[in-house]
Amino acid sequence: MAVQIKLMSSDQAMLVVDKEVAERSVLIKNMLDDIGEVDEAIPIPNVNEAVLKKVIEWCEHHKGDSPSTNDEESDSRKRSTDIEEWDQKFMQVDQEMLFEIILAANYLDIKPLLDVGCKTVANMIKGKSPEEIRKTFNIQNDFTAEEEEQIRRENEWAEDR
Amino acid sequence: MEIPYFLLSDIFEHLPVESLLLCRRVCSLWQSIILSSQRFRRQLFLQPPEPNTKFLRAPVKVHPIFLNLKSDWAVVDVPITISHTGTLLSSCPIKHQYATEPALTTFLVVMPGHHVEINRDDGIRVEDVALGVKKLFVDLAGESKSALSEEHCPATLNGFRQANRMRKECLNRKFIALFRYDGEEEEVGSVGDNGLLLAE
Repeated sequence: MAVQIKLMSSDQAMLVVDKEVAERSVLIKNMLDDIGEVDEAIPIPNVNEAVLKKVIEWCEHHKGDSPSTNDEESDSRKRSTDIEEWDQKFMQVDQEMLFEIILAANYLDIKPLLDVGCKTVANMIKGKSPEEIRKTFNIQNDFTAEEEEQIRRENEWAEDR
Repeated sequence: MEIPYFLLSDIFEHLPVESLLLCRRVCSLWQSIILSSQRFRRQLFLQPPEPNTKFLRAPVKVHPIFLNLKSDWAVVDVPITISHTGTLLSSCPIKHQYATEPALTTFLVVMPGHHVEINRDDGIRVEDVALGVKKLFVDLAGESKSALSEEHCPATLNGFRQANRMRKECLNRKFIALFRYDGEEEEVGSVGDNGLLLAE
């Protein structure tokens, strides 16, 4: 039987997962390497139960993946916003949850999940006008009309909208 | 919940140039994240590729706004003079930026049967290429006696796109833009803080 470990979310929920799955997180892997076998639950103070469950679901699906590739490796891979179908479906959550997952991936050091999250947000930005982007992410436009006009002038010829 | 600000640059890394330009206008935080990153500044041609390179041997990079025109770009190794490296000013409008990096003094736009050579001693700018391409289309319009009149190809990027579409419809010829650069190693002076090449 696979070795299992316990994780404790920020809201005190206990989750039992295969060690192999949990070790998709570099943070948890390093912790386990340091402390060896433990019976107690590992506290994950920055991630609540709902988000932690989502993250574990992703790790389960991707447990067979080859170890994360070096990010220096290829710019084109990085730049592409292609997301595999399962990940796309996985990321179909509300914005709040999407950002929570990205933050958790960042905290737990799960590079491929962080990548998928950032690509998902990038896809939400692509093809939108600045005003549409502000609306999508509820961002306050803090430029004066002159400042914005100045940037628009600099970008002239390259902007379609 | 807002986008975690410390992850914005990770997100911007996945964006094409056009989106990155538009993101500069979203708010001052986004603008400052893009302008303070070397990587994005290079991508937007606001900073030369390698500030400390001693030799300009790297392949010439074409201004990112031309890369969206669905043309074929190719390098020919006919010697050519490289004029400057670096952009003019960070707030320089795109049309005044160098069309290539490093900047070239000759730029050749080629279509079978037609070509236009663009020259500028202090480095060819984006607008020079657009004007050159416009001239090429005007020549073609005369030849094909089509609706490709001058007023239909304003020398702007959109005019360029529009003309490119019309050309495809009425001529069905492949459009190739060529730029040439010096294959010889050329030692250059150091690059100043403003990105301009300093005299030796």
